[in-house]
Amino acid sequence: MPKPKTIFPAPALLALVALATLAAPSSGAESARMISATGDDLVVDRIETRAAPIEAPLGAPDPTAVERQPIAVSWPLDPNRTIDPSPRPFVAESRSYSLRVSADELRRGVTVPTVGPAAVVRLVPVDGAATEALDPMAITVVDPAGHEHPAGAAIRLPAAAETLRATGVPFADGTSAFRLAEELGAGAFVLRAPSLDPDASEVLVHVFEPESGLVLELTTARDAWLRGERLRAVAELRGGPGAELGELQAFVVAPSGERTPASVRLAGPSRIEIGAPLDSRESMADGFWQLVVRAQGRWNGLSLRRDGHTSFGFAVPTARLTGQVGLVGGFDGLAVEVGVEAGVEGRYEIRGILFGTDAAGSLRPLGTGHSAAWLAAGAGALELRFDREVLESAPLGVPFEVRDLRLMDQRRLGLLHRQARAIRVV
Amino acid sequence: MPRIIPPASLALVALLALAAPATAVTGVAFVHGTSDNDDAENEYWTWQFIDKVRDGLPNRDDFVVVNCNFNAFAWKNEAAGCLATYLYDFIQDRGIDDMVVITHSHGGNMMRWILSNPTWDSRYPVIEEAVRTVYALAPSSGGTPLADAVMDGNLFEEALGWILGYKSDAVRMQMMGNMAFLNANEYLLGTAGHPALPKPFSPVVGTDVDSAVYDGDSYCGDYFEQLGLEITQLWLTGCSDGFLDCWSQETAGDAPLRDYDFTEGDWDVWWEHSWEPLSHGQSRRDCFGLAELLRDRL
Repeated sequence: MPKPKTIFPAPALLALVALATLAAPSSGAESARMISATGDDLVVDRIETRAAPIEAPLGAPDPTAVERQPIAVSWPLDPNRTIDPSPRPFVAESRSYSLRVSADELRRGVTVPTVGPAAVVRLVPVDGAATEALDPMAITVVDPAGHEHPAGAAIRLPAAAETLRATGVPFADGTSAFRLAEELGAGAFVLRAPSLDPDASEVLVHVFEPESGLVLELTTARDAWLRGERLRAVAELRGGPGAELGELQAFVVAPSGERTPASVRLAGPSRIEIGAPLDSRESMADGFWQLVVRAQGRWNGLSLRRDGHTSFGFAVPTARLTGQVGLVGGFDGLAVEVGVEAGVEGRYEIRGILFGTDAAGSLRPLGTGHSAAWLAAGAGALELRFDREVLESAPLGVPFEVRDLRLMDQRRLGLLHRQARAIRVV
Repeated sequence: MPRIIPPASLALVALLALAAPATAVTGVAFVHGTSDNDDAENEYWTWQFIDKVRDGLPNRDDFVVVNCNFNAFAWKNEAAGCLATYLYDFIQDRGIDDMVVITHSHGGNMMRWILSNPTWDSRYPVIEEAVRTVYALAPSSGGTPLADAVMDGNLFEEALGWILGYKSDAVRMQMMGNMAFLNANEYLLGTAGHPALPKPFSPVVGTDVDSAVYDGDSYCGDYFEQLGLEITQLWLTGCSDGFLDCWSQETAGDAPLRDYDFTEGDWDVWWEHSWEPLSHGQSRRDCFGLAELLRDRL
């Protein structure tokens, strides 16, 4: 599969931009215009002039630390490939929760509510020190009917810290896990680690109920947000008719770990509406943003707990599209200059998918193009290029349409603009 | 235990062979998964595996074993930047123009980062041009609920900050919601509904875990690892390698190859082929014909 690429020096880019009013002869195209964004598109309407620094300082000894060369790349796509440029936010599901208890509490007995049988329990010493007292076979259990089971008797699939560590799954140091005996059913269990030193580290007790149909679903209204917006999200209990939520807590966790409380509002017995201000300047290059919800309630006479978390994208609006586009002449293929206004200097990227028209008049994917360059603050442009090999890869021609157009603050991983149908080329 | 598949499934194997250009200099790169390695040859892959795979090269010296910090986010210099340095230098130093990349687990995401973001670094297009194909062994393309499980509690317990179970940004990256964001927003290409990667990305998928003490096959790799994977499977669906669901391994790329398509079990009869599941650990070891499969495709 050939993939043309171009790495071009900045003066050449400027020269090409100056020719922007000329048509590109090999594409058959004569003009380009921006299509109006719709309500489903992500659009920056106000740029900011302050943002987190990028990974390496400018002029760093390692020249690859921050790429300064303009680079444009394109490659063909299968015209029959399905492209869906309307991303939907992730729907997170939770059947689990956690409790933080002292060693003495766990030694004396901690109540663990369940609504399904055969819950999986992890015991995590906060100091990371494995101890035989937290070995699953040392744990005693009082079942929901009040029967006490001696050490290990109600435990299935015991995995001591050493066994769990050998899996390669990066559970916290000292973590052990086991499953509660399925025949003991659901309800409130009491777990005891009788040999645990009462002065030992606190313990996180994680409870996961894979057999329970009660799921807390959590989703944000969009998957990508901009600084200055208010995050909107919904959490809903599903799979348990009659379930009712009571105590609720929600917050946003930034990449640094900083937490911002979110507002929660019951919008029905099992539905929560969540809102939170987004005014941080942290960069996604340092990590992901999470929305976290902790819920308690009742179902079928049983206490119910669920913790949920989901991810969302966040960016400081450091640049925006100006809405000006034009064809670039003198390029062996199709090149479109896209106007960009930057509030902060940095490396910005534009990418889009070129659709062409087939013999029946339908638009089908032809290729994808990526272009990035260092832009100073102020008015500038990026040039989206589709090489001749892309244009010749399928019998598709004018009119063309650039779909799924994205502007990114590349080194801050900021998604600034996303438009399903963006540029019409005729 | 040996598994049985109908002979017709074996035909799938034959369909996946890719030919190298006639005058090419073929090389193979081994890209490890989540870890900060300085001895991946011994600690991650084992020489037994590496040596058997590179037997398929015209020149057995045309190989490179990557040692990078894949505990970092893919876009960090110590992660994909380090991987690019290895691959770029390998291409330049040995004149490689037909590179097969073998990744394991999170290493598949690192390679997808380079192929999906060619304008990030001027070395990336050079690397992409040299790649013939990527064989992604058990790639965590869709993330894993185990990463979410590891992070549970950290998100709620402010006083614990990011310490507990949080030694690795790779864990954060492989949380399902985070991988969904990276895939949907084309930071990582090759998933359904989005542009294909510029070069083939072929997942090799583990579908189950054997840990029966009486079954010698459980001991290929590390038996203790196999034991623990029985409980980690409780976070996963019915089809998994103990760390990743099959759907996650098949989220990106084309023509996935499942273990039952090619592994060799203990016994065959003329009307049936027996096979063995590849657990997550076994899919980077010389188990059940995996190394031979890769050797024969170089």
